[in-house]
Amino acid sequence: MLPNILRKLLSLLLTLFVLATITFFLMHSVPGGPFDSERALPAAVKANMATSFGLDLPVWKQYTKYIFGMLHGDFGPSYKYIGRDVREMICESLPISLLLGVLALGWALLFGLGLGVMSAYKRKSMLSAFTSFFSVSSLSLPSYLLAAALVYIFCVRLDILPPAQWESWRSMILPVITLGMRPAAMVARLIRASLLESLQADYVRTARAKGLSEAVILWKHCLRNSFLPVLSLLGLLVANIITGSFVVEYIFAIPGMGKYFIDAVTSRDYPLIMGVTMVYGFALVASNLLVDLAYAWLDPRIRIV
Amino acid sequence: MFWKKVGNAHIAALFIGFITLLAIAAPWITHFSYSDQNASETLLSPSRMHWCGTDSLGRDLFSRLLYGARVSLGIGCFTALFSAVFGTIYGSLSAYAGGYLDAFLMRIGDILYSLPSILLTVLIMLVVGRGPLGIFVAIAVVGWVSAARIARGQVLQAKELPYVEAAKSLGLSTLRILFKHILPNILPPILVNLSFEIPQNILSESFLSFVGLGLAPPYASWGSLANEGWRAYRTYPHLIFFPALILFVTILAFQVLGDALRVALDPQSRK
Amino acid sequence: MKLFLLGFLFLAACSNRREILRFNLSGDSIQLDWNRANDTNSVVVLDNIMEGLTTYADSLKTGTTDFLRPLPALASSWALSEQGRVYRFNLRKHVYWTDGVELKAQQFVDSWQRLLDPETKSENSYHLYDVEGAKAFTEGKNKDFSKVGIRALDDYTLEVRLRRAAPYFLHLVAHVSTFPIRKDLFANTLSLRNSPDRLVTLGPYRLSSWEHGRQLVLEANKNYWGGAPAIKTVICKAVPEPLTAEALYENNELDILPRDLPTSMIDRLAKRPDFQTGPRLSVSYLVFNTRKPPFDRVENRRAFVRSIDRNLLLSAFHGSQRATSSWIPPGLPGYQSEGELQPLPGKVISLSAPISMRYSGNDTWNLSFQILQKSLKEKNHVGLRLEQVDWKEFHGFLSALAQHTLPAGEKIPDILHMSWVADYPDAHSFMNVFTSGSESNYSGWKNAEYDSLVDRAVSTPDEGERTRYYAQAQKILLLQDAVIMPLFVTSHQALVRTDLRGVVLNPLDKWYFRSIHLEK
Repeated sequence: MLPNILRKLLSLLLTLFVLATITFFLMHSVPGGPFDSERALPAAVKANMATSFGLDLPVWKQYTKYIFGMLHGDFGPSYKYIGRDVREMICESLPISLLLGVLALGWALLFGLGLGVMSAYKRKSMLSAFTSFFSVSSLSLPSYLLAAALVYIFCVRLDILPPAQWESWRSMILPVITLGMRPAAMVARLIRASLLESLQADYVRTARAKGLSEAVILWKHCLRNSFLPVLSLLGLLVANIITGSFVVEYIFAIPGMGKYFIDAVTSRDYPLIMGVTMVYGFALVASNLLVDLAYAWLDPRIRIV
Repeated sequence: MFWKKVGNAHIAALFIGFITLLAIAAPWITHFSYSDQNASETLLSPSRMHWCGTDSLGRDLFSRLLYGARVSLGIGCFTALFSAVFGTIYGSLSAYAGGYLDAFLMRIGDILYSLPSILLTVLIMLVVGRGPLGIFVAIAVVGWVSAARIARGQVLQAKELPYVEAAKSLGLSTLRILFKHILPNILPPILVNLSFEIPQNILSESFLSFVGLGLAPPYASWGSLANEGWRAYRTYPHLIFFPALILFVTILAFQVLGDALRVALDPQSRK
Repeated sequence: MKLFLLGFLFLAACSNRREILRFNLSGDSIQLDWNRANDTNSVVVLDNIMEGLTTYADSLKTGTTDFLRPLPALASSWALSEQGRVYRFNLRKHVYWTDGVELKAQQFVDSWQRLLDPETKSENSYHLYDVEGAKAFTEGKNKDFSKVGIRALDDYTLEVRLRRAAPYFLHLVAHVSTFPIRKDLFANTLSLRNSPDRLVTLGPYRLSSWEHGRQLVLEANKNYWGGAPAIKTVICKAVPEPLTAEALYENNELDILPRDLPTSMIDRLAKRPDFQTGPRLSVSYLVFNTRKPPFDRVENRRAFVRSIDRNLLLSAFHGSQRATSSWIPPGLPGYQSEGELQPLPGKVISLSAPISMRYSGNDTWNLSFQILQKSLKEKNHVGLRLEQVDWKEFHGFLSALAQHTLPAGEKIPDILHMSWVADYPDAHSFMNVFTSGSESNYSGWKNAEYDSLVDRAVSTPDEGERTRYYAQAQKILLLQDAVIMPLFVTSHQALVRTDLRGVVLNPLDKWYFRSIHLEK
């Protein structure tokens, strides 16, 4: 077991290293530089700017310098948010994004579980038809359109929730729902499919024969089996929440990390691009690793290779 | 139950076919071009003349949606198709080669697969440029890996099958075996994958439009139309309603079709 | 009794709310080092927590031109001598920084030395290029600051020697980059980002907190020399999306939306009493590439100008732009209301190949240029290829063009769309762009007569004569050589709560909260 974990960790590091490399060279080949602005700068000033950020070095040297810095936890200073360190920016904004993400994930799991179970329990009801429609349709709508619809209904029409910002619990409702909708649909689909499958299994038939009620069978016997497939979905859910957070944090003016990414790209803030990418890359790769480990722990038949 | 699934899938397939037909036949269906401006007919609500209303330049939204279908479906299908073809070749060669080469090739795939693809998509888009080619490259670069994984799995399975062993011992060439005996096995799961990739790509394109890195004019896609509509949703709801509707229904149709294909083609779930 | 108490609390809450102003900055990438600040958001914050030698009028008394007259601020008076080449500023006495230190002339000298020093990496050093020896100092040709014409004669007198008369100089010293600094404190400014309340300033407000990504809070400075301002607290929020900001305003969570109203809603908002609009000194224009065909021929350039009706392109903007055919915008001496190249009906220009136009802008500009594209195609059968690029890419291209470092094979488009925002409210800020020494002249066109007219205008003290020079120069630029085609002047469009008084839409996009108060 232990050497396997080590190997997994090693491959995590390798993945992050490749991510850093690809991102670094990609962003340096995007046309336009961080100090291109409306006014032409005097050559001496521009040269000093480049020197102070190490941008006068050849790209490969900047690259090695950057990688070494990153190994020491140094992401460098932001170019756009002058005087602020990327590490410090991440430390400030990540908790907010994390809270948003965890709330959205929690909501997605609860809501998805509820929907999935209900639709499996009453297989031929309207409710079941509705849940399957809901889960497919939630996957079919870009999140900014969903956000628009929610803001229109709950803020403009009903005026019961604030339209943006991250202050009270009430202001958190809409962003969390928007962000969690897609993951919720994924969970609901998976739970439904896995429940339907296990309801046909032999031991369920036995249980039925014993005279257990359908609800007890569902909760006691089948749901446990759905746990593993949902776990395996976690990586995908995290990826979805990360992508969604770029849009949701921007629309709802949430001071999280997601809204920095597009901002950093459009202003060619190289250290900020790298910082945000690496943190999100880490979140994604680490969640996949955790899933693997949890899998091996829960289901001893599976050996992590 | 089975009948019902097929029923839904049939409707979905019909709808996709219908939309595709409309996209191809756009110039013959509507007498407005997607770029025809009319300064006296701006921001009209839907009417008999303009089925979906007009935008702020007086362009007929219905025609723009039809022509947008060409771009959106085009991007969705071509990138997915490219991913499928490239992924299949990559995956099956990797599986066939086996050994260290296989491990190395799949390592690359694994790494690409676990990267936050949307971040790379945004950067690639800026490097290549804001045209259809840019979007194609940006989405395709990371999109092929899932196809490659599926193909590899299938080839590894097929390699052990008796008739492949037999073909090998008969001295058939590797390529011939790959094409004649193994490819037919790979196709069904790849097809299922394809039908899920297409809506994903259409959504990715609309994400790029939203963050301001989508197609530059004159191209209009459903994503860019929906984004334009989003900016005006409080004042001119028809501008968001129709693009959102068609985006929604089309992606829905692809999802339903994909589900049905999976059920029909995957022997495991057809107990 | 209970009811009375409740009512009292309610009133107290109201009056409390009334001393707070909530303003939207679209972002919070604020540069607190004022020598180096040049983006709109940083300037808004700094203009309120700091002050310079001069400032602009802050209440609506006469016309717009009144906003554009520099008024005494930290300088209580000044004298001009030697044909307008030497300024002597008399500083206001008993002005104190928030740490109790008195304002001294040397603090201006320190600031200007730091601004000009290439080591400071300021993008603003050009503001002082009219000062004797300043440009050479920034370019590193002269390392000796004593050769630059800035001197503190005593604690309260500052002398500035210009290399030539610059009638607009009093505007330059109202810009944040020329505000005084405390050299003794500046070494540790970087560490101040995390405790902004320790930032030492002397303006009507001081920075009291900065929640990154969320908001900056400004508190009234009780020791401000002009008396503490009426609004005690200004909260500058960072809401990037216009639709969201508008929704927050409607929800009574913002009091002023200074700019970026959602384009689609403007027609509706414009009818409301809380909608305010006013001119800005910003002109958008097309630049012809005069280096190669077809626009190396002046006939083609003129014909192109005459083939476009600006009013057609305006429909995309819902009033945020106005058509202009003058390069000097309305409100400044030298503005020409009637351009001589008026659009002609019918086919005006015939070109064999399609032309290309590069620009950077949002969806609204896209719409506008698609109208241009259509009208060119329909009336003149000229194809126009639109190349929309991202902002940094556009400016990266421009700086390579200016420094002749474009990669071989990179084509220069036939037309560039750009806009110019006045640094100071004087025609010179515009006319200087197309002199041959200018780094912002991307046309490839040079004209000695134009240069000398602009030069002569600067050193002419007589207003009328200056205006005539500028008119002549503008005639060369727009009519005789048709190097550029001015399209629009930008307008302010803002939402301001109706119970706020003293809100001024300054044409330079400056916001002074000190003048704002609530209706009693």
